[in-house]
Amino acid sequence: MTATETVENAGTISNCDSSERVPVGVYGLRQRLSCPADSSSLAVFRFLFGSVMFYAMVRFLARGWVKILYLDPIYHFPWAPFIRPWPGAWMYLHVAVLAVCALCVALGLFYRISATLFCVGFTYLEFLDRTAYLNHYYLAGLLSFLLIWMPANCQWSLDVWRKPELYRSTIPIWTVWLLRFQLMVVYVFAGLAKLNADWLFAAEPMRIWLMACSDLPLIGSWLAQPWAAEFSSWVGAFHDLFVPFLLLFASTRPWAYLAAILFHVTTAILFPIGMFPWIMLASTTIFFSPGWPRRLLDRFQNGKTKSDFQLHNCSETSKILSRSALASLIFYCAFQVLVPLRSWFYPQQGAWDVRGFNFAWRVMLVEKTGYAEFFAVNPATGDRNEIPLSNYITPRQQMMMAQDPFQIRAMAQFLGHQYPGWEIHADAFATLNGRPSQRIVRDDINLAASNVSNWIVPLAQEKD
Amino acid sequence: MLFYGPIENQTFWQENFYRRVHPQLLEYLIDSRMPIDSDAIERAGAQVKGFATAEYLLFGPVAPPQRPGGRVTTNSVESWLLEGNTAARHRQYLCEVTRNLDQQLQAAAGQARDEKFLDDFASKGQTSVDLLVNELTVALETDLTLPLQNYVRIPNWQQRVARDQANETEGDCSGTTFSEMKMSLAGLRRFYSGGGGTGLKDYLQHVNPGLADRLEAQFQATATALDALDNSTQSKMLAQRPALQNTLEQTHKLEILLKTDLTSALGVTIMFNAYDGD
Repeated sequence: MTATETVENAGTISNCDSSERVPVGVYGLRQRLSCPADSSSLAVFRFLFGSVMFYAMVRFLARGWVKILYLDPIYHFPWAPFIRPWPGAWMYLHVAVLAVCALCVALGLFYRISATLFCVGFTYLEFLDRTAYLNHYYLAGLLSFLLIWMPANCQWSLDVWRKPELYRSTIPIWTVWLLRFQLMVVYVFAGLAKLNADWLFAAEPMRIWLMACSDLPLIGSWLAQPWAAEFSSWVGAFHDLFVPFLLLFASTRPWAYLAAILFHVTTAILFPIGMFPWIMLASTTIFFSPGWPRRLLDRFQNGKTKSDFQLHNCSETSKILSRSALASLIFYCAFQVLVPLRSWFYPQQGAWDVRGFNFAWRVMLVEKTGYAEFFAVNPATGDRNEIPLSNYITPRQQMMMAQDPFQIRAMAQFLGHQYPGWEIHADAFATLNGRPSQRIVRDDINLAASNVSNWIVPLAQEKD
Repeated sequence: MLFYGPIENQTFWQENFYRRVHPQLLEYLIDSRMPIDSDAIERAGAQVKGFATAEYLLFGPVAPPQRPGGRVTTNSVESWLLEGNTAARHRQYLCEVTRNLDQQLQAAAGQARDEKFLDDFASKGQTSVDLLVNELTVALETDLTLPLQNYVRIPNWQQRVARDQANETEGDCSGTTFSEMKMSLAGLRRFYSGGGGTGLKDYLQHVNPGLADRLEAQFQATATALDALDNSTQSKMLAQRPALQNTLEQTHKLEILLKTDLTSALGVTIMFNAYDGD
């Protein structure tokens, strides 16, 4: 295997090592990250990601989720108090614009502005209501943010068709590695989160989920077997922990991608996880060597596998990554590692009390169902009146809120404003991974008060 | 019960069981020259037909007690079914309402017995499990929890009796509220057990035997609490308050078991409007 082939297959910066010794230290790092790589895989990533998100937005509109998630509720559970949904039809317009932006990203048309608008608009959508939080939409927001800074329209795009001077056959390698890093963070933290007793030894919640799939033709009866849940739990953990690393090496990549396809397609069939499998399958193509689309195209067009891509040496790179850009990269990467890590500092890693659970890639990890009622209690007389939640939030919000003590408290604080002078108490129960239900917040505390302590009831009961 | 079940007309239960009667509208219709026949009842709104209307015509409205512990009285049925200018039309209206109810119930029973429905229901697997659990939770809440809350939770009971009780609590004017609750619970338990065949109970016994035992025990505890209630509710409201409170607590425990533990154990999608998850 020649040095060139090694670079092509692995998509690494080893060409920097093959010809000239690259300086060490910060400058060396900047030079290594600036090494040129074939731009075709980033172009394909852009197309696939944009297409999946376009479909996701059209699906969002078609399923009536704009109304269900944002227009029906009187109260939302915003991540920040100043975030409010647009009134009425403007919300539909917002999602329609996101769909157009996603399509433009896919086609590489007005790419930078489309990617920026999509990132901002999509993040806004995600931050409107905590009950609508999805890990894979968080990932989509991050990937769209990263794309803003990458020249993903420099090839196979309408922008290049409009302005040929935008064409570049190479991109700096940091763009590819940053996307890979982002996906590795998702996989690895999702895998680490599965290393707990419920997942590995009780096969929960897989047992519950697979049992609910036992009506599937052919495989249904197998899914109801205890071994199927145990096998799936361990396979899931191994997949998440090792697939991203196996995707890095040319020798293991085909098998790793095949495993990823099997894994994600299976989860798409079995579980209602929406666009997650397709976003991951589209995104993990970035682990292939940067020239793979061009080589594939050559094979179809000329029957040859030789690429016209000429590898550039690091010394040929015209623009070295700036210090500020390097600092930004390091900051971003550190942030992406530290934010999910926070959940490891909480007892039970947030599965029960949801501390550190969001933005931490704890994907498909727990089966949790809750039920909550709220009461306005007159502190003078002790009168206790149930508050009809349906006046403020939808059944879906009620269901999601009841699993999360912090959302229960947010609801109580909102209700405190609706019932001035009254205390707000909650009668809330939840069940986690097949355990008997138990109280999740104390019912003798005014949750609307600004300062309360020890209001979350710790998980106590063991499984049946 | 069976909000999402085999009944083709999805407003069936609401129209016939849960929509309260509108006395003024009912009297207006009876006093008018409108012909009272099956077509008229079919066209009539939900507030002037169904069980509540039949009960109202048979037993009359409840007059609230004048003081705590006072007697609750119902209007004399004779006053409108047997006496006065409109007695004949009252009787005719009552006959047509009950006839309409009978027709609707026969049709509903026919739909539920249809083999096509049964095959279709069985072939839908988890969707049918979702349906059953949702039916259970909704029915428990509608038939037991909410009426009991009407009795127990509203702080000023006099206000409640005056304002809400006659019009909001099912079976109130005929004094059959608690009998209906007992029948509803028995029906729910039978529904959960599969009605003599294979049911959710058997499935749960296979999936989570501990939870199946706890659910069975809670069904029994709720039934025992309900049995302790005196049927003649209104006149003994205050005396029954501890028993009512206990019944509500037991019902609430059952509701939590159904809405959280059972739902989770069987991987049920609640409310049929689930968004994506991950």
